[in-house]
Amino acid sequence: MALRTEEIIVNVGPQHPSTHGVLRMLVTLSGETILKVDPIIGYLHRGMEKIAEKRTYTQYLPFTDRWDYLSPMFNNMVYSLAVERLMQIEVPPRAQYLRVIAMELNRIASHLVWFATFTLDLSAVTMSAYMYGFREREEILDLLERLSGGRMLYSYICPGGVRGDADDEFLRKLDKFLDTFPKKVDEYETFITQNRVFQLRTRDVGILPLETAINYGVTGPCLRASGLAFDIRKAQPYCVYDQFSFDIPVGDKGDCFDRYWVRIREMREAVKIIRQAMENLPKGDILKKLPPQYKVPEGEAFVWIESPRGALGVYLISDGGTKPYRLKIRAPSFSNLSVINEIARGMKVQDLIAILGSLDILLGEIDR
Amino acid sequence: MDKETWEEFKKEFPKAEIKEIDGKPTVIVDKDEVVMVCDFLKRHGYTLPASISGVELPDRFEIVYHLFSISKATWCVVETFTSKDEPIVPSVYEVFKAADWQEREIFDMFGIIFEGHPDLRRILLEEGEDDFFPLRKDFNEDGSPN
Amino acid sequence: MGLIEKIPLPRIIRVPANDLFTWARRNSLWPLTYGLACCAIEMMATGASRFDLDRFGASVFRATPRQADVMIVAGTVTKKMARRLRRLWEEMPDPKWVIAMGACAISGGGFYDSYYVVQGVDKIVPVDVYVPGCPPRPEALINGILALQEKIRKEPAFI
Repeated sequence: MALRTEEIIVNVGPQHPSTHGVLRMLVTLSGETILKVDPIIGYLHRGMEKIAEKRTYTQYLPFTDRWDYLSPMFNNMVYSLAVERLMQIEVPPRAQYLRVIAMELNRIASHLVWFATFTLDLSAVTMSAYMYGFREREEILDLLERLSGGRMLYSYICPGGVRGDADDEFLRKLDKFLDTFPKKVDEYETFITQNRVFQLRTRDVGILPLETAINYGVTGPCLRASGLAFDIRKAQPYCVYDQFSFDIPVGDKGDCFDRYWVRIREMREAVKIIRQAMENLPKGDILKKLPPQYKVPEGEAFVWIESPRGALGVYLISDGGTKPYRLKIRAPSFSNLSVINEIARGMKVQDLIAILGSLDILLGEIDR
Repeated sequence: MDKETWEEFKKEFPKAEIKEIDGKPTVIVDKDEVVMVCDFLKRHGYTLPASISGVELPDRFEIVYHLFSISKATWCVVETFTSKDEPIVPSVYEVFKAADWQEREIFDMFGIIFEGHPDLRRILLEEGEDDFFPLRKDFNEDGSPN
Repeated sequence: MGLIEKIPLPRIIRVPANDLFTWARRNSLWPLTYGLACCAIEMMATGASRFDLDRFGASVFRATPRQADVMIVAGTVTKKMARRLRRLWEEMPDPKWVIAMGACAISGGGFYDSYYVVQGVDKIVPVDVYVPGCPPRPEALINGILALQEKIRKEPAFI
């Protein structure tokens, strides 16, 4: 008697514990092997690009926080850079250094949340790695609250500079944080990186070849894990990043473990950058004040920066008025997620969750 | 791109207009040539498709392709136009796989049809909503069709 | 012997059944993981180590609506998600409560003129507690859960 096999379609999400937001995936399976993954997005589509056409530039700044809500400093930064490029404003040096400190602290905070949820998805000792990640993140949030006034969404970096100054108390606390944080990262390495089960679940899972990654527009740690040392902070430096010396961690195969390993090392590099910025912090103004409603000269600008998820870009077209004519957001997670069909084919169902976690997507910026 | 490549480009695509916008060399081409132009640029190092955007101008639609060359760390922007009555543009999926989702989004938001796209359906909005293209300038807020 | 063993308690304690049931229900609220957007991260931070939600009995986040008591709607509800939200709410068994967390869930928030945002989750499901903020601090969410516990205490347990 011949056995008959059939493909089944399993629906993952939109409400699911490990989809990092409202993502729905239609997974076609043959037994336990994945044949096709079709991600369906749009459950968080709030119309950010259309709203931009109805708000003035100042009114739109808090909306930029909500694109990628785990790294709002970067969203503010790319928006401010685009507006500043069209208006040809020079930002004071102290503001630029404060911007770097804020962004790198945010990078560490974002990678900590990724670390907490990634290990939670892989069931790393149920909730404990999650608690470690969030514990460190609370300290960073305290620092950023002292700097900007907000706990999670800041609107701190605005066109013209930054909206709050760093006092001595902040610098002292930052110094203490930078001393203790690298030891915490070592702690994580002890119980996750060398863990046998973690290695089995992430080595050789979801290998992303370099050619495919570039063709799909993948950027950030996912691209660096596949072997290419491309970081916008080094390739096209913005702000004052050319003044700092830091390394770019690179992986070799492009599997889940490499993507994890690149991010852990990036957290250490961020600590180095913050220390250099803190030591060379110049004195002076922090904001070149703009009126509440200002007109931006006609023109267009495409600006991109290195956010924790990849290359975050903004394509801003202005028609000379007080509101943008067209604002297109180039979200890194959008391109990173589009590659999941290619890399999850042939893997097993449980690997799909590991792959999705290692891509570090955020639905807020995919759906906008 | 260096001078030789530009010369080769101008010979192959005599009708293309070359400008410099926002510090990036911008190539404005006819929509029939856009796939060949993207292929040419990809062969000469512009391999990373950073963004494919749709823009609505007062009299036509514009598709803007921002291509980045990792080895040279420079940009090249390609622009093409299509009319509002018949918004059909050839798809660059064969050249850049990133066009899969980026073009679906432009279709979703503007209603521009991409010929040759393997699976052109809505990506952000719900399927089956005809005539609902939010990023058009004449979009009605109450949701009634354009 | 511990302290509590020294208190001369009677062997049978008589408590009104209503109070017993509401005490059990309000001290073991199991939330449904329903984080949609930014407020979800603050909800996760509330469940984490500093603002421990476990001490209120509400930290066992269940992924399936069949085992959950309270649905904390954290984030913006879009029209595409609205149908699914209603269905999840209907799948939860009674007694159930809904906490609307954040400005977007209460009334649409900053997206008041968006073409795709539902102006408040109370247009889809009945809401018991509203927690304002954008996003509300973890302390505010804990306040909301305590307010819900107070509400359950006053509710009749049997209909």
